[in-house]
Amino acid sequence: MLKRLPYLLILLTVLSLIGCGKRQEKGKTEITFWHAMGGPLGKTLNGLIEKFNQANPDVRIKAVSMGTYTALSQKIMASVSAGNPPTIAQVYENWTIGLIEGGALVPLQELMDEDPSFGPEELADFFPVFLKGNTYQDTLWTFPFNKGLPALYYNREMFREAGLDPNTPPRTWLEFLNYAQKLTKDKDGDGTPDQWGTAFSIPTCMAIFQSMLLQNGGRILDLRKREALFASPIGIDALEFLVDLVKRYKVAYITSGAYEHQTDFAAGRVAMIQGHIVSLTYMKPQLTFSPGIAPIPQGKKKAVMVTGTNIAVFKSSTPAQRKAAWKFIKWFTDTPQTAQWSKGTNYVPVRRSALQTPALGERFQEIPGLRETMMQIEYAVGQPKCAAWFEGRRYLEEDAIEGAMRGYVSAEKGLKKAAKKLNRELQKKK
Amino acid sequence: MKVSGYRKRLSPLFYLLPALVIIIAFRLLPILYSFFVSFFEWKLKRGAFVGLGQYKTLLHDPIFWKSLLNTAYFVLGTVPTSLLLSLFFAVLLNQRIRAMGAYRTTFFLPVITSLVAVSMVWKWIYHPRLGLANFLLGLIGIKPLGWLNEPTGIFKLTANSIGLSIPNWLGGPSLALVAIIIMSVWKGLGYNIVLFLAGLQNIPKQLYEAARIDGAGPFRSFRRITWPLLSPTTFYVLLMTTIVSFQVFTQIYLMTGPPVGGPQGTTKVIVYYLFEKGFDAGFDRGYASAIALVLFSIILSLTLLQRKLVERKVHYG
Repeated sequence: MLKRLPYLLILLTVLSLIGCGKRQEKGKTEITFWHAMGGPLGKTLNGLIEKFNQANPDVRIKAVSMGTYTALSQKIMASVSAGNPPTIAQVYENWTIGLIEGGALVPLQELMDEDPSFGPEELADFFPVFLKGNTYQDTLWTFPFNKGLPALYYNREMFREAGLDPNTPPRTWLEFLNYAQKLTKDKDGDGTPDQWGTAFSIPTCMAIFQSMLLQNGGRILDLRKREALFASPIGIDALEFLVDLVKRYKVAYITSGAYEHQTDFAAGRVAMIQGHIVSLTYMKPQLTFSPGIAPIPQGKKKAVMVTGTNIAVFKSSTPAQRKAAWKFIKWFTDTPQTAQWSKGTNYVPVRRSALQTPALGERFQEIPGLRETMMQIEYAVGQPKCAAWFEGRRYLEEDAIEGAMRGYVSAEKGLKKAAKKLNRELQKKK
Repeated sequence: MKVSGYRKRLSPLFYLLPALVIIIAFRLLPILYSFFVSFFEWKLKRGAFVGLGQYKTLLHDPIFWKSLLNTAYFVLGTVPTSLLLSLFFAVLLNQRIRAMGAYRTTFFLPVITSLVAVSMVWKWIYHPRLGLANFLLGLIGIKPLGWLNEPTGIFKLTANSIGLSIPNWLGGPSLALVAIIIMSVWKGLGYNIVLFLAGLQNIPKQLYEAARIDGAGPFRSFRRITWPLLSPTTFYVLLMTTIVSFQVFTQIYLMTGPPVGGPQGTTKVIVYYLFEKGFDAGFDRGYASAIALVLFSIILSLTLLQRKLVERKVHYG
């Protein structure tokens, strides 16, 4: 018997491999959905997908979490090269350009136009900034999926201790500095504060810098002239202000990791942080107090930058799959579902009408300040839509933001260096 | 049964087949394929043939040169240190003392620990405020260092601390890169120790006895017996450590940044740059393949050079 064991094992392996083959139920269209929603976000997403699958017996959405956006982008690009992409996936704007150019996507416009039940009055309910962000050369290629905004978090208790009103968070960056000075305290008198006004990670500085640039009338880049614009005097002022918070006023420090400022905020070391509207969902397990959430401070005018991904349909799908994909996308972005999604994750609902739903109404009651934070969407601006921004982001973060924040270069020198590199990329590709 | 000559010659091939198939499919063909890819404009799909165009762009890419310099710093920092330290510990661990197994295990533990886990732990060790490294420095009265956040060159830092000033280009590897080097040496030490231990135990004991009778002290017998007879092992360790050091990636990816390769790009090594270009931003397969082949040629020529120059001194028993 033992002699035959190897053969038996081989037989078993082969049998199990056969079992792994595609098992498609008759009459059911299966579509794969690659995403990067982990933790509490993934839970909410899976719940909604489950609901969709139950309500639509002819379709089955197979959701696969890739863990991180980096992994997701790698898997998408590799699968497109190899010719077996998923049916639908989350995509960032700067990936989309490459995918459109590579002929990998089906414009959602096409699927939408074929559907008589989805007219312009439906689209009019979507926040315009989302539609603009998904339109490339007058065609709606993708649909908004998980869209976020920056948010200011603050510790109400520390506000009270410092004699500040916990219901009026700072509205301008100057007020922010003012508050931060009052909130920075050296309690044990050893010369270094044990309570800080604020703390940044380098990616946070990057986000604040972009917001400040827009708020003071600046721009990141000009797509027509193919030119980087962030090294303008407005940009230099913005970055110098951030550097001053650390160096001159000593009310802020720079953290090491990407999310350490959140941990430090939860631990009560920092009074205010700029995070993302979804950070609350992630910080929740660590928090022992209920933080204030508010729109981020403003400059000369109100502006913030939208973050988060869109959803795309890949060309290699069959007509039946495309139809099913559109059905899912339409359902997911419909008022009740986008409200549910927003309630479970804190992402901004993609439709205006969702704000009136009882689901979100309850949530706004529960978390004071959340409605105002979400309403930043009224003056939000989309991410630059060009492939060069993929690398441009990196240059800005590495050469300008990190360099200046850590005191290695001046804000002006760093920004000019990053702009020069981005200009080179912009001129190279469309 | 008589086996014909033909079959006799073929049968080893048959046994080698499983390994060969894997090596050819997953090593050789991809190498050849990336050669092919590097001659094209290749983003998502194959584009125009550009000949040596990618290589030409590479020559004028300052980040490529910087990543090459960072890699060179890493190799120069890791290889000699690892070689000397592992030889030193191997000689110590080759003694007959009590609980030797426990010591050997201790040195080998980092090797079998996952590099990802080790990277996370060392990231904490280097944490500016909460890390063990700065705590230990504090005990001997040294001010906390920025470690992984410090882009200043190590020579410049040293010079600054004694009041000298040297230009940036003479600054050497950043403290962040040195921190990665320290961690990498620690991680790889056990493996090299085991190799050296095996080499040491191959040296016949009679030689040492004879040397002792002839009046040679421990240093003399190390120089005259151990060092020459150990040279095949030393050569192998040198070769392998050099190759592995050129390919450093994981610890850089996990420990530095954000943005990875920071601070100020001082830990951006060649393999990470390849990854960044090919898989992280831009998906420029053509360019990334060109980088891969440059790295391949560098390692190949260095290995050949080492064989030519160093192997002459190797004493194969």
